[in-house]
Amino acid sequence: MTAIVDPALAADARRERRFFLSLSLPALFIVGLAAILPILWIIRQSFLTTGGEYTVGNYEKVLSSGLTWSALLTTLELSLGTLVICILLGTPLALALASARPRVANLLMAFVMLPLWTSILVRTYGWLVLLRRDGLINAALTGSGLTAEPLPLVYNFTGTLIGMVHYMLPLFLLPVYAAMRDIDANLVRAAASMGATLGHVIRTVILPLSAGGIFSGSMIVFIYTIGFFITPAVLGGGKVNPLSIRIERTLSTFQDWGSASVLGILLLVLMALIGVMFLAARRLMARNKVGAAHA
Amino acid sequence: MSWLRISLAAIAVSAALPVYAQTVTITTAGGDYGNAMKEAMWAPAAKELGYDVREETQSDGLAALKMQVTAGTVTTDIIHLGSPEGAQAAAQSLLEPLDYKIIDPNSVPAGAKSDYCYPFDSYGTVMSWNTKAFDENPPKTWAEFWDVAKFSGRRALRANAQDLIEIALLSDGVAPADVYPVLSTPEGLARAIKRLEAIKPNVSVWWTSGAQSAQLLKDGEADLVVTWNGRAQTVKADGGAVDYTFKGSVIGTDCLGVPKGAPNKEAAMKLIAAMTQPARVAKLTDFIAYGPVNPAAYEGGLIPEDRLKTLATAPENAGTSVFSNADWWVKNGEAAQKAFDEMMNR
Amino acid sequence: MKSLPITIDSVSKAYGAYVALDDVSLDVQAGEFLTLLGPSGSGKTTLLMALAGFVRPDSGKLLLGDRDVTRLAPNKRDIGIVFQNYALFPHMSVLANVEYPLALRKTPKAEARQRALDTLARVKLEGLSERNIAALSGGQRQRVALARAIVFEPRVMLMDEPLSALDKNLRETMQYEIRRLHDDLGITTIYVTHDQREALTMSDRVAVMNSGRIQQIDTPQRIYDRPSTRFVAEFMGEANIVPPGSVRRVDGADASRETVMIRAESLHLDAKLVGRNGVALEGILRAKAFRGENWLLTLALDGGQEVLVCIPAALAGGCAELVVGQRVTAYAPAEKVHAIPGAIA
Repeated sequence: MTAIVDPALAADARRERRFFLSLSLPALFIVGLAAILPILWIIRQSFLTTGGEYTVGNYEKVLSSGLTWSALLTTLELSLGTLVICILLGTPLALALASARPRVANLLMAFVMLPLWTSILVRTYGWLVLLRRDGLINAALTGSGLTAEPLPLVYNFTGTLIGMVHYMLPLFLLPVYAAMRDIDANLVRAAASMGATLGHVIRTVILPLSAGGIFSGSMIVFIYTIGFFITPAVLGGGKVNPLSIRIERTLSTFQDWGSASVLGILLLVLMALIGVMFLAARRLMARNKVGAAHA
Repeated sequence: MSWLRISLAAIAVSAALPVYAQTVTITTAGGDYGNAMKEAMWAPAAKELGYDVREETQSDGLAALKMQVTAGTVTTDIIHLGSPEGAQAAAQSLLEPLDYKIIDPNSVPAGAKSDYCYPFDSYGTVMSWNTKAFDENPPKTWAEFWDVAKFSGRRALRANAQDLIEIALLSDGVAPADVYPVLSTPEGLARAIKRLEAIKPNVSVWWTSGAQSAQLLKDGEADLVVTWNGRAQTVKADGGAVDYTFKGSVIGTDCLGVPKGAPNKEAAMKLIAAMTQPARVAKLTDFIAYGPVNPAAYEGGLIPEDRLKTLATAPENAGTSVFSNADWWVKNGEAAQKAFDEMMNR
Repeated sequence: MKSLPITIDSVSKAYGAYVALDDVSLDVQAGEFLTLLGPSGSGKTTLLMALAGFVRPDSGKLLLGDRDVTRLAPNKRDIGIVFQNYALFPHMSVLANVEYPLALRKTPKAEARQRALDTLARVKLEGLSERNIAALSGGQRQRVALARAIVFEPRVMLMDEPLSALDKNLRETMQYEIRRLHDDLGITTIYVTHDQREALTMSDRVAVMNSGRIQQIDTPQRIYDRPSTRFVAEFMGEANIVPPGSVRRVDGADASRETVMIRAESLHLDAKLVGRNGVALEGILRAKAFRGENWLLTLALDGGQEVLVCIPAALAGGCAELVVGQRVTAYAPAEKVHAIPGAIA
């Protein structure tokens, strides 16, 4: 037996749903305009010659060039390197923040977030001042006699990595910190009462329970860094050439929009692939967890 | 209704009538160079013509030009380019032909003439060094620049094949006059690339902007820097421990073009003609050591005698130089850059 | 397994101006079940956490047996703890949770598994060992928490309001089971609750706390019938604090000159039920309420003081006819009239 529905009330319900749906329209419009249209335009460009005829030549040219693949390799090296350092530095930092008293944690958090409020260009040049041969760090190192010669800290892979880690660390930290802060303090107490040392607690309780946050943070780091341009351009000294720089060069030196578009699509595909891989891995992890519990 | 019409009419009249001025937009590279162009060249010219000039800056003029023209949204009327880029832009039909009825055709020496991008100043790509690293005895030739055993020290080169290909051949013993003939042989480019690869381990920075090269010199981050003479001169004049030589420099010119479909084409031609008057391009050397192309600027003492030796095109400096060949670069630029990029990635 | 006595000696703890523990001393005998009872903020949980090692006292000593544990790290104290919200590891199965303390003690795998399974059987969770924690009911989680706290055979057990999240019926079942488990194992247990009925039901002794101090330590019966302070009297059930002069003897003899406590359920409407040496209170009926097993009457004494009278339904023949506003006399037997030392009404 079906309940009798007053048509006027049903219409009200529909109108309400439509109203809330309509709230998303401005955002959808902007996303469509700012994200989807340019991508479609880039896809079209990638099939055009300089003269404007349709061709697949751009793809042949880009995909057969060793420069593309070495740039891809550099991109992955930078992203993976940044990710590993972010995990190594960010996880203990998040733990410290999550276990600090709220007032101290807020203060520390403000310090961590400070870089996010500064222009990336300013920060990158800031690193230049710190890291160059007569920069503050090398001056301290040689001045104190720790090293005889200034260390090559910038205009290379190391410098680029430092700049990228500095940019990404707060973004990695946020989800990890959130995950750790949400861990019930009584779980830690319970573990300790049963005899767990700090190391045990971290290994058996905190890390497993913040794995989701570490995962999200890693995904953010990876996907963000794939497209990094300014940091390798300023701190790489021309020796670190990921896909983003390859795109810029293809555009500025050759005005080859077709090839640049192909490279852009390659970057996009790479991001999508990594996103899919992360999501698949997360699903796998979730299934394994259930599986282990039922084993 | 009628009130609205009357108000609109009033606005239209007030906009059209009294304070109308021709607006022209110029795009430069900005920085010290852009400033110098403003002070010496276009600001006084705009005043004379009664134009209202708006400045945009773009570190990569050609890319910006192409973006504007292909997207059909040309906002700039005059664009400042390097001559090779100018030639490239012309080949891709991104520029309006210059109107030599408005611009004086005799202001450009025959060899430098262009139908699309008006060359107005010149610079040399030169060898510069930190005087603290090599006080009395810097390298004197490109061959010595390549001699890392005798002249140790960190090098900084531009991350671009342009000029470096020519310099690499000079370092390998090729005479200035033979550089382009050698480059036009099948193995010429490979020979230049091989030379660059030989010095690559001693290059600590491959710079990407002129400002960066000046910074490297000033900070002592690199001891031997291939840069533009204007940049080296500015650092030296500011008291930096820097010197440079025009010996073996590669001379290039910068030019002004009018983008295809520029909104104020005729005013742009007039402004180009006015801002490149001999006195104004001579005045540019007050700010930056880029020598005028117009021979008339060297006459009548417009440029002080002692400054002449800081200019790449000054007669006494021109002997050992190579004039950059825009045509060669338009034809072979992509292949040269690709070979260069591959060398960088090895 | 030998359980240990617990000695709490002059322990104080302040958070800024707020005094959580004010010179608390307490001896718990080996194998005893002692309950810390008090309202929230009374210091009972702070005291428990100090014993567990998660709160560092400002002064005083804590001893387990002869061992001074005041400065010992929590993970070295060998205390089983059951937390208010169970604190089970959500990323581990039931079995893994219970094996956890054994794994930390490097117990051989097979033995650890057997002991965990035995303990789960003891708390009636056979067959659930592979479940996820999220798939358990509140009562089941409580049992896992218990199993995890006893599996490593601690000699002292602390429980922090372990039943507060359960519904009433389940709570009563678990009260019985926890007590049975305690009797089986003989572990010295300190149990924290704010539920006086739970404290009375389960404990060998009850320590009532308020404002960081222990008000009274005694058997449940004495705490209930012979409260030593007005706070204890009022905290434990419906207590009437009656000032001198409001009470008269049934037989006309002089009544006590002290402030007395009479529990609501000790009062009757029938003088015959209390004997000649009982006392009588007279006042106007202000309100009456039927509560199923009993009636609750509110009388206003002549001095203005309100008194609650609780009449079991079986003895409340006349209650339904009472009219608000009429004069009523209530009676209490002499042994149920308890003078509160030093109290001023």
